[in-house]
Amino acid sequence: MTDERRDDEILGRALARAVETIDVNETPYERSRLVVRPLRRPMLPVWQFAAAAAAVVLAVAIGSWLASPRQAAEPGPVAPSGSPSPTPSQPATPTPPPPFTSPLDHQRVYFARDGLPPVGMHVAGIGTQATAEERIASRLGALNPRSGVTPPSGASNAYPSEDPAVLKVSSVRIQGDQATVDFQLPASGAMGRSAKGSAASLGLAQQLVYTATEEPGIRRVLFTENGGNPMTIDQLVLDKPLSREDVFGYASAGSTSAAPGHGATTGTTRTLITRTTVDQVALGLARVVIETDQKKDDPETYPDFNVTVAQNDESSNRVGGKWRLVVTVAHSQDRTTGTKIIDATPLRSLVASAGPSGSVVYEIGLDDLRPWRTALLYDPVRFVIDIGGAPSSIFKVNAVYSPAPGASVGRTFTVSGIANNFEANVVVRVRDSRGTDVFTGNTTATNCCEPGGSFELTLTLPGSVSGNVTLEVIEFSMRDGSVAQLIRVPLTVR
Amino acid sequence: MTDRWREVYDREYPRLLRALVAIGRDPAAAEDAAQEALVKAHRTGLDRIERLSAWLLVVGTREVFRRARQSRREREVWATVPERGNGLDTVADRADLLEALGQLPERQRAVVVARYYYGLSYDEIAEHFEIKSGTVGATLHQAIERLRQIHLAGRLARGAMR
Repeated sequence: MTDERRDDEILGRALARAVETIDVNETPYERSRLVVRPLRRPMLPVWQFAAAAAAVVLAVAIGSWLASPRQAAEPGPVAPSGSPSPTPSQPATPTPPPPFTSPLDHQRVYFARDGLPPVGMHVAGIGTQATAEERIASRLGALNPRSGVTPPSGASNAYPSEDPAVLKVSSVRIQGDQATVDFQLPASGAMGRSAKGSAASLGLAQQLVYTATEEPGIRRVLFTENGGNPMTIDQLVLDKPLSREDVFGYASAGSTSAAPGHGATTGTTRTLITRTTVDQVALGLARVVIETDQKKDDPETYPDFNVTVAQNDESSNRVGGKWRLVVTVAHSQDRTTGTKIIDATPLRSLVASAGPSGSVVYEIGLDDLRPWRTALLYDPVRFVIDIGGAPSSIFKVNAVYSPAPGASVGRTFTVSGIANNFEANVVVRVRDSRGTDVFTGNTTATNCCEPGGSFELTLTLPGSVSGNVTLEVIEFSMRDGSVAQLIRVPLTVR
Repeated sequence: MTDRWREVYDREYPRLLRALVAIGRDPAAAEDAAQEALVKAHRTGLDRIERLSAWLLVVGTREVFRRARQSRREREVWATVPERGNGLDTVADRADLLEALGQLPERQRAVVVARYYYGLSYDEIAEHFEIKSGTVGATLHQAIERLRQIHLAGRLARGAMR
């Protein structure tokens, strides 16, 4: 090999290493399009088609023999505005099922938000029909811009504006916790007319899935078009049932493991008060604060608390939403026990009740299982349960709340969030567009570890810095110094 | 979805994504393109694809370039492509190299990544990227020479600022 060729190889290998170390946000297999997006297999050869058809016929025959009594009881497709025709076996005047009533506001549709999960909005007059199928159809119909419903501030609507006689829900079928919704469209793919590109496609998919699953008891929905064909939104093919967690935009769902507080299980009875906010600390974030009357003088004796997660059965618990976070606080009392309806995405309700052994139990009703995290703050002692936030500013149980991704900041700005790091140490770094560090510093969160704590650091960049920078909030591994947790927030310095 | 496709995804996707970020300079477009390439591979069927890695790289590269031409926002996005490393010089060198790569013409970028990151032979590059086999070597040499010049200029500039 000549020297020149060898030099080429050396530089090539260096380049390969540089490419290998590009830090990317990898999509886990479970959320890849191979799984989330449906697959259209190539046309089967004739003999395979014949064999498959024979297998289907055989399966249908066996299935109908095995399941015929149950199938007869299952509801078929229901025209949203029609009523079932009486049959000889039915009473002449069938009694309509009693409408589902709930303290929660289910007259809701959902609109997409850029870089955030969708947001719900009350629309009077929808979702009040007698049957679940009709309620689902009426909510979806309200997404059509021609219905006169306009999205709330900061949200958008990618549903096609079309004559509701031409583009409409043609049937809804419910089986267990799954709904199958067929749309009548003027042409194949017409649902995606106003949703070009991956972000807009996902946004419309979010709107459809969240709005359809607003119906209590429905967790997944399969959308089809024009008589059962897989629905497409631009490049997105929706040919499998989707839950809210499939489309909400986070890298993974919230943990279903318990989050212990590691406090004292006995001691002075503390009086608790609660506060909730949505979209105030950060967009897309719901915060529940449980404040004790314990001051900072003895931080190690705060009442123990424990957070568990449960899927809610909406038929028996009509205020619990789709998921419930259950927070148990030891040796405490809350003088305002009862149910508080919130209905601000993703928070639906907060129920406080007296628990066993002098504890207080809070049940937080949620729209979905987006990532959540806990933190402990002092003076006075407060337990914070944060749910959601901007998906790109969350990594495991750490989150950056400010600045928001893409924000324009001055050279002096404040970084804040929640960290659950070793010794509560939070490293903050800012890099310019060439990858040069223009700021490196660290701060300490209010607590670590499990629960985490809040952190805040005000930093000033050199006067020469302007334009695009990347804020990095890092936890380095205590074992080998590698990056254990990393959140990157793109910013523009004015 | 079968475990076989999970294995394919776990083996191919991380490398494909990084390659497409390096080639296309847009992480979001690279993610889209990588996912699209894998979906197309599934539709085509593994038994119909002779060398899956190279096939995915070519399909993903085409998709990245198609999107880049649509978006016309390469420069802004490239500025946010991150890198990581252990030492300052290493990190800076890698950043320079990636930035230098970004200044090459589209085809040279793809060929360099195919050769040095994917380890494809000249013949394989010629076959998959539909380049005359005799010109692969010359294309690579031109690209590496240009990389060397840009990279060196970056290092000199950085040294001068210290």
